[in-house]
Amino acid sequence: MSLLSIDQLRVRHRGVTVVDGVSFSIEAGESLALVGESGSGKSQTALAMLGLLPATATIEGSVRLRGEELLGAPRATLDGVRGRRIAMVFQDPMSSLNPCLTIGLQMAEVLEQHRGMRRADALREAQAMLDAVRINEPRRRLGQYPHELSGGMRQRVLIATALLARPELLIADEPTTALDATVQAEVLALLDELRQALGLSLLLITHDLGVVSGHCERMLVMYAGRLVEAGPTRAVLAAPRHPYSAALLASRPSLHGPKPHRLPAIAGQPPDPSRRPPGCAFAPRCAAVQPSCRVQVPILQTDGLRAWACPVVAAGNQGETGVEDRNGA
Amino acid sequence: MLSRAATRLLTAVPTLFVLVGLSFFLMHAAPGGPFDSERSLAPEVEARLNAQFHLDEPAWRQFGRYLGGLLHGDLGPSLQYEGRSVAGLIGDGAPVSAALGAVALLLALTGGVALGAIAALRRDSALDRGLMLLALLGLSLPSYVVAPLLILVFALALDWLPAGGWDGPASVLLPAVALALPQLAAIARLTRGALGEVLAAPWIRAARAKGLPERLIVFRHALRPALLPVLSWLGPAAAGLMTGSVVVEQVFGIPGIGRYFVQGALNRDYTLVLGVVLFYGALVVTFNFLVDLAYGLLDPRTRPT
Amino acid sequence: MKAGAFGQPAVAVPAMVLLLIVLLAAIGPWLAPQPFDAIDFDADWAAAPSLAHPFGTDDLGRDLFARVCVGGRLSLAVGLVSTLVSLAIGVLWGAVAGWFGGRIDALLMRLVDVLYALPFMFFVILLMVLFGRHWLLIFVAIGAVSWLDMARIVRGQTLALRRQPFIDAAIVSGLGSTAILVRHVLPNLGGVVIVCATLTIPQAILVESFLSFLGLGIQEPATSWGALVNDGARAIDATPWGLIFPAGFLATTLLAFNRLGDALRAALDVPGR
Repeated sequence: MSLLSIDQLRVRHRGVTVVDGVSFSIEAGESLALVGESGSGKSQTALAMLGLLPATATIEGSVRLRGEELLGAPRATLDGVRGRRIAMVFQDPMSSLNPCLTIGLQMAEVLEQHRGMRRADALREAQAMLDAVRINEPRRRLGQYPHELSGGMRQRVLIATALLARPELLIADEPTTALDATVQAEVLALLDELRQALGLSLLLITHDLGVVSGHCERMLVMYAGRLVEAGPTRAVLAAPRHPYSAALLASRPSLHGPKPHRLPAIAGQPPDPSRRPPGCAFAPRCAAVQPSCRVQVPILQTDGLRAWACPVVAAGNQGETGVEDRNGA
Repeated sequence: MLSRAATRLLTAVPTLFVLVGLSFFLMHAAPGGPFDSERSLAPEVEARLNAQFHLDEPAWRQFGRYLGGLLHGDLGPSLQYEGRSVAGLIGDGAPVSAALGAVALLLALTGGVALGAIAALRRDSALDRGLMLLALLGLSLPSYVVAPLLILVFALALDWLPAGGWDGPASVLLPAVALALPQLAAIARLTRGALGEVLAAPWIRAARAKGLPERLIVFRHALRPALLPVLSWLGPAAAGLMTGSVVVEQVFGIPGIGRYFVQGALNRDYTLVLGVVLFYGALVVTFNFLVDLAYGLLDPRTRPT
Repeated sequence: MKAGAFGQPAVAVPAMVLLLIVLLAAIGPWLAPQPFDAIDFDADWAAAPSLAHPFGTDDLGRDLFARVCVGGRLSLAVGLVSTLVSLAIGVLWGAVAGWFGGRIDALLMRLVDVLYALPFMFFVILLMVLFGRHWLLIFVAIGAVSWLDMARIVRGQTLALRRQPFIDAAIVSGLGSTAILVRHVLPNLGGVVIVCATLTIPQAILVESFLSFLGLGIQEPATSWGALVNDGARAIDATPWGLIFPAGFLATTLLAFNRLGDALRAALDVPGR
């Protein structure tokens, strides 16, 4: 049984669909990337999984943690899952910590809640975890407030907090976007190391393909609320089968190969979720678009290892997406 | 922390000086003397009275004399209450006014925060809209309207509570409610707005993702930052309570400072009116100063690292 | 300023209520059976509301409907005139502080801070005590103590305006500070000033009625809602209508102004304090 399986997840805000029938699963110990532009629905998917969306959102489908349904579960059940079995680290380390409470309290409360520990014991363990994420002077940090730490340090604190209760799955939503490049690399290396040491699964949400290639075994690509491609990271990056993945890959700076005159951007804008075109949502921007694409929503086809939602590209002729040719990548 | 206190103190002292100077010279710019209203004072009697109260001296000498007295806590003699000093009159009324004000402040704070929090937690529900309309009504109903209405209902119609006087805990209730209501309404609106803002903050979602129960989310994570604006409101609230107490003491016949003030104002008792204005001004300045210090303690971001 | 703000019910409803109250205050006295200060010797003193006297009469036999309308004229006039006074001082003060910045700003706003810390109602009373209770003084005194909010808000808005490109353009084209202030800054303060003024009017009405309630404001035979509430409160056990009608009008007016201010703030997208 998969650790977590998501089936036909659909999220709507006031009638606007932002996640549209997303299905995937995460295996124990696996690292999975969820890739897409901002507004593609990747964060909404993660928040929906944990029941963290506002009450005004409508959520359909199924999210099962080792077979146990989480969607619509009572708050008490969710509180036993959140932070304890599935932990989450958010994008902005500045605002994800409460400015009025000490680091120590914000860490200790996780252990008090999930392990029934007393404050003093919880603080001792928090200190050990700060040490594990290589924060210097961990003891002093416990008494400090978030504004007294640097951005990178705060993100380490958030990671340490997420790992305190030894969760089975860590969801990291753009964990390095708000950080400097050098700090980014350190935080990602730390995540890798901790994942291997603790044997936890990782769902890494990012728009950065560079982050994906080094740190995740499998990747999912989302566009306009739908899953458009899924497969082993190496295979997808080597030969993307959906024109959107290909375009995303082509618009990324590369250290290898000839230096392009200027980086190609994907022409056009992602569709407004409230005015999604009929058929394939990527059709208006797609170089390989066919008349049928504008009418029918492509189904996710699979060859057992990979999956892609584009009828134009058949399993045999990957690479003929047109986009790569045009960009000469 | 200390430097913050020092800068605040540097504002407080000139504020007090402006207060004293402005009031005193306004008083001397005014036409007519305190004994004008006494209909038939013989000229020599009036001259003697003026001399007795140094009203015949030039204004700056009187101001100097007044300032010197202030430093010794001497606010001068009352012009109307014979043989009484202004400081003595204020001293008589202060415990009563302070008790009334403290009860009202407690009511306004607990009630306002509780109702505001309920409205914020049930945002956009019928309960929220109802509470906020009530709060706006509370802001629009001045104490001198609420006070007689309370008397009409709870003292005259229902006969549950005394209609006035200052005699035991039961007599505190109605005036304290009348005094607290506008401040309670203001604090409820303030709390709702602030708590609503905090509840939408990313760190609240992060706290939910940690699996904390709603009780901890609200009381530990949301309420504390949400109460900061309420704390800074306490300064204006104190001023509002002092102002309101003038009316409420009048309506309920409570022997506090406010009653002396109104009597003094109606009788043109210069020294008494000025003394009360100074006393309340000094209180408000002190209160603001303390609130500022407390703010620094409660909000770690304002503390130097 | 968005057109159509008045089309929204949150704005339109309190605006209509206020219009009705203003109309009643304006024409009511002509509809009343007798002038507001005349005594009806046929009716009982302190008569309950009836067809002849819809709001009843007071303990001198004067028609309360006429008195509430006439008192309303005064209360509303105080609200408007005092707000205009506070508008004049506050806008000028705030615009100058925000526009010139630096030391001028620091000095002007520090003074506002100092005045803010004072219990201003006591100052108005002090003014009343010292200079007598003339109605003109009441208008000016209330306006003179209620411009602080306006000054703060206008300063903030002016600071924000100063960073706008069209102001740079005006500076580059060689316009002097005063000209820019008058021609470009003041007209652009519209929304903020409207909201702030809407919320200042009930404050001014409140202060006046407070004074009149204490007997320190409007003097007989003139009257205002505050003075009527005072009369009503004194005779509350015998003639409760004497309290309920003026208090009801006063509270409805204040509520409507506060609602209107809140709704305009939302409709014109003006940030709160």
